[in-house]
Amino acid sequence: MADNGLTCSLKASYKDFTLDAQFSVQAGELACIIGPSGCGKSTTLQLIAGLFAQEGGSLLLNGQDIGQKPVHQRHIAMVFQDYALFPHMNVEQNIAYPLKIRKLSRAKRKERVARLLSLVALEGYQKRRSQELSGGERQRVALARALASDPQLLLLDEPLSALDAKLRKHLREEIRRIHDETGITTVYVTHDQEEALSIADRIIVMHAGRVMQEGKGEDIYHNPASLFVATFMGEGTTLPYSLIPKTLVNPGASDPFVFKPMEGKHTIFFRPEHVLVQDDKNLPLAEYLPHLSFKQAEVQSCEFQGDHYRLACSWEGHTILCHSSYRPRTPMVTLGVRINRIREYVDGESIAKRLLSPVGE
Amino acid sequence: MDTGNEQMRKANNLQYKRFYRMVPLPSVAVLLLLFFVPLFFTLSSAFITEEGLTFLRVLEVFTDSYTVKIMLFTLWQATLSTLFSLLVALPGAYLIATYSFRGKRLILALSAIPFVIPSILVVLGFVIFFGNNGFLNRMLMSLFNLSEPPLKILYSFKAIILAHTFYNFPIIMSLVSSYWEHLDGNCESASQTLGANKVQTFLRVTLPRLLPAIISAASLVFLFCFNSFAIILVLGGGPQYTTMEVEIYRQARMLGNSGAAAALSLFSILTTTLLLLWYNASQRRLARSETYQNSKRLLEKRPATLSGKLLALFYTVSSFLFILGPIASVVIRSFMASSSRSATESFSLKWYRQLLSLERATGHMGSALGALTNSTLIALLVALCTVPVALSMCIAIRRREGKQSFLELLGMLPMTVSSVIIGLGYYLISARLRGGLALSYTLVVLAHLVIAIPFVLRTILPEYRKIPLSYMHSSLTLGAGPVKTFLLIELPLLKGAMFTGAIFAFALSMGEFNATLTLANSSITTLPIVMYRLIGSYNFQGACALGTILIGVCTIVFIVSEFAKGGSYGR
Amino acid sequence: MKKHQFVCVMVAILTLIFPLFAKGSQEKPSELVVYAYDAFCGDWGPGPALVEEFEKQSGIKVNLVSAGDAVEMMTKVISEKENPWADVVIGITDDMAQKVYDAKLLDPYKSPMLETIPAFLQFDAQHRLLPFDYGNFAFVVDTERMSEKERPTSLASLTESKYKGKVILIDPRTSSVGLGLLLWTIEAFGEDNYLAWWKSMKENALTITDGWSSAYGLFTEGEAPLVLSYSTSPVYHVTYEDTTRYQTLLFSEGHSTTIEGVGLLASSKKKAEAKQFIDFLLSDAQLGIALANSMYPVNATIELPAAFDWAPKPQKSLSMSSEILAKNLDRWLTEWTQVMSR
Repeated sequence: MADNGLTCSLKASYKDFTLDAQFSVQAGELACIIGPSGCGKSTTLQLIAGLFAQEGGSLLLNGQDIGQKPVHQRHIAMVFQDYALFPHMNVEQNIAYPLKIRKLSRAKRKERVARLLSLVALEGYQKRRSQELSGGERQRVALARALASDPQLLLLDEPLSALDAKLRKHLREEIRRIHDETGITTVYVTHDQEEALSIADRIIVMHAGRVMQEGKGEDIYHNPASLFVATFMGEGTTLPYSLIPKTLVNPGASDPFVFKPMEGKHTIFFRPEHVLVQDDKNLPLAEYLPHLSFKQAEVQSCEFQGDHYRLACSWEGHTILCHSSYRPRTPMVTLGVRINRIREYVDGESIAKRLLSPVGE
Repeated sequence: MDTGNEQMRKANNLQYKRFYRMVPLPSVAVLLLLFFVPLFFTLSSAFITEEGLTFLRVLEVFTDSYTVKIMLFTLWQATLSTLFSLLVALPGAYLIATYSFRGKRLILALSAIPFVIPSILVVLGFVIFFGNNGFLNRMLMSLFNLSEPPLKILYSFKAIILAHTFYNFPIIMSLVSSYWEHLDGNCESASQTLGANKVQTFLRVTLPRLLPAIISAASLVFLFCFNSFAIILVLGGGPQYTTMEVEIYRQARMLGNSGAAAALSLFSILTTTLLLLWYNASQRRLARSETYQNSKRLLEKRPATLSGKLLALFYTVSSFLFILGPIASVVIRSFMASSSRSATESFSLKWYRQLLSLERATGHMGSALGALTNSTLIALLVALCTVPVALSMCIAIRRREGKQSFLELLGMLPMTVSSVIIGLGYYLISARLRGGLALSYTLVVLAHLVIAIPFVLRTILPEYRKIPLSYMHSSLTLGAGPVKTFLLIELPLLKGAMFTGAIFAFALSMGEFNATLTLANSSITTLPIVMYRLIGSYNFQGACALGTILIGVCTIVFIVSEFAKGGSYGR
Repeated sequence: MKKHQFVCVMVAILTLIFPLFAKGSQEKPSELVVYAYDAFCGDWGPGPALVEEFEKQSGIKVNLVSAGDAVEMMTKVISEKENPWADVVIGITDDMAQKVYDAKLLDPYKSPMLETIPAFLQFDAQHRLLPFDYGNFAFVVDTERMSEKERPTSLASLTESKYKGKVILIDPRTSSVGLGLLLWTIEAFGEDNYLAWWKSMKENALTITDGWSSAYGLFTEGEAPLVLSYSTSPVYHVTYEDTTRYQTLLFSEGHSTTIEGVGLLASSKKKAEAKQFIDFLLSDAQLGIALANSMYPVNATIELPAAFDWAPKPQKSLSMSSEILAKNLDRWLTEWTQVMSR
């Protein structure tokens, strides 16, 4: 396996929860662990940090097995959800804490704190008490403190979850910038997929104590390995495979498609931005490649999102989500989605395309 | 492979756990030596007769209709006293938690005083203030020109309840109000926006949330009332009000029947331990039930409405009267002297002059100054020793959180056992250990330590439970080991609680009487001992003067602690 | 695993502690060891001055050990039977003596000083315990709150309804003075009638306190004009406060006497020195003891200061054999409690 970065295989069991996760993070990467609450992502962080005891597996950091080292000798820093700024210390003392532990001279500490504060854009905050800081400021101080310990690995446990939306966006850019400046291997836990997609080099999706998929954000978004990942990482519509004969349109080609149904629950999935909307029933769908067409879909709701409208339409008892650049003028619309935008799953697991066209994709 | 992993896991755990497991050992040793071993020997005599081992005596006590009757009365008076204390204390807790007003800190500081002065002084204070010839009655008699005292409060069941309420309501008030202050006020606002009026909000939202704090404070008070002795006999007016404690005393001291006394004690210790378990559970619930607010909620500057103002005023005045009346009587009495008893008494510094050796001392007054120095030294030592001991127990308890903490119960038990039984235990120690003055000092300090541990534990543990685990975890991930984390994070955060605990230990030690007398074989004279000697030799005013000094020292100490608390962070 | 370690540690601690408890006494053969109750030994008691004087006179070193209060001291002496330390024990009263007799701890000693002691004070015919001071239980009156003709003259007259709420009594279950009155009534009225007296006293008692201190405290605070105390109580007020406001009432039934005794332990290895000490206690030390303890000296040749004129001796001294007392005390206390708590 990789000599550089983090490679872990974690096992731990609790009263009604078992964790068994394997993944790796390259040196200098910013990886996000994402999953719904209760999926074990925070536990994973605590196992890596050594705050919880591991039951088995291995934990390699830059080629060293750290699985049996006590927390304070692992060189892993962690930013906690509640920031855990020590209330009896001011900002400077908080940041200097790991430096003091390592017995750095006072002058060096001062200089280092000043540098870290400018890194997190909080110059001159040395003497403030943690109670006087805003949420965003606390978060940055916690980050600076974690960085002060010169960690080989930085763990961030939902660092932005307590902040408001605008600040969150700003701070995640900041975190990315600071990461790029310091180059520290970072594992970032979040439950917000937008945050994960925007910040991470690598995304690890967890569910029920297991890693569901690991990879780049684009890969995971466009080729989700399972229905769970598909629906968790962004929106989409899930429909039964059996609808295909009824809705398939193949303009320009006479050859029929070959259907290869499989054992198990066979479903199709597509993203709302890949759905075309036509609100004039006298006009055809502007689509000339093979696609599925849902006629006479009723618009249930239409939300203005700024750059587009988000529609929820009802078609033969199924709900189909789609994005439209305009507000439909009639309640009944025709929807279409290209065959090559469709992903197929059997029992929730991704499969290669079964819907084959002799024309080819 | 598997075994390798298993070993690895253990190694990982032990890095911290060995350290924490060793921490409470000294405190356990002290408790064992000075409390559990003697208690065990004392209680074991319940099972040992001349014929050998028997359970008959214990069985007899538990089923005897007379003891059951006494037990029921003991429980009844303790329940009533607790209820009345709650009734008086809760409005006060509300005022203190909601408003900021002048005299608030003073009330809190004064509230601990009844707690540390010897019960005989409380009884005397009560008599001087509420008695037939007391201040209140004399005032009313001269005001309305009466020949008979109009207020016949004392020497009845009423008086027991009154005195217990006086003794205990301040404790409930300060415990509940400090919890209340930190409750998140948003729930109340939410309730009102949902259409509930103030009363409904209080009953349905605030009260249920306060309940753990109330239960915890009330069970503490119940324990004190349960073991009350002098107050019940003197102010109750006689043997129709007999509690378990009196019965234990009779068996142990008058009849020399330590077996029967031990059986009776076992009965009451079992009862109180059950209560303590409940108390403990409610304490833990308290720590878990609410996410404690880091900051006090914003206090309204002053009562806004007229009725609020009146309520605050009425409460402040009446609680001052209630707490201060009896205490002030003792203080005033100490400044009174007359050249002859038939002459009217007038203001005089006679007793204080004698105390400071400015005047030739009469009787025991001569040893008072030395006793004051002794008491202060011992109390300082006790305060310094109790805090680390209690702290070490807290650390161990915090690590085992979630499990029924045996250690926590261990530390609380000295509070439940009657002073007569503890006295017997100490007697056993002093009979076995013969030594010089140094040993006596050590034993006295250790005994005070055992007495103070439950209170200090009670002060530190809740604060400790409030420190989020993430602080400790954070420190560990930043490279500090468990010892450093403790010294740099936990210790500074507990500074306030430790200080308060030390103050409590100091005050308790200043007022302690029984253990000192038994263990020191009168080789050490402390302030309360001289006070009792003075009373024993008819000099009540001199005793009042010493009592005043005791009250003075405690007041200063408590006021300092209240102000120190106000300035601490993280609350 | 954890539990095992905990148990091991506990066992280790216990094994460390037990020898401490088992160690018991260390022999200090050079000194005469004298046990006395706590109040006797403190710098306020007669002990220190008396020991100093004796050491000067005789050249014998005395270790005065404060052994708790009188009950504790007795328990201590009895419990040390196997491993004795004391040579002399001071302060076992006549009413408690039976337990010590039963334990066969004391050697009889017919001191030459007994000649100076009136026969009624020599409570032990076998001279195992020799009296060294005595006192009477009595009611003390506040003369400012009760005029001469209102005052009771006997125990019986105390039950009259005019004294309703005017008497402070003490609980015999928790106080030796309280017990004194219980025995006094039994001595005065006999076993058949004492309960009747108590029954009619119930109304008159303002309160029944736990101990003498609180009773006398209530009394001097003016809560009631009559209190159960010692006949010597006014001496303090005369000596230190120069007032005769509080006076002892002499009752026609006579007064119960409490006599404090000194005994020589059979186990003593220094009997000659011990006897010398006891003789000293009964002669030269008498005045000091009487003043410090506020008791009467047993030695009839002692001249008391004028203040003792306010502690009149009763015409008739009542007492009870310690054997009868030991046999009946439990029953009497139970009967008393039943009557009083009804």
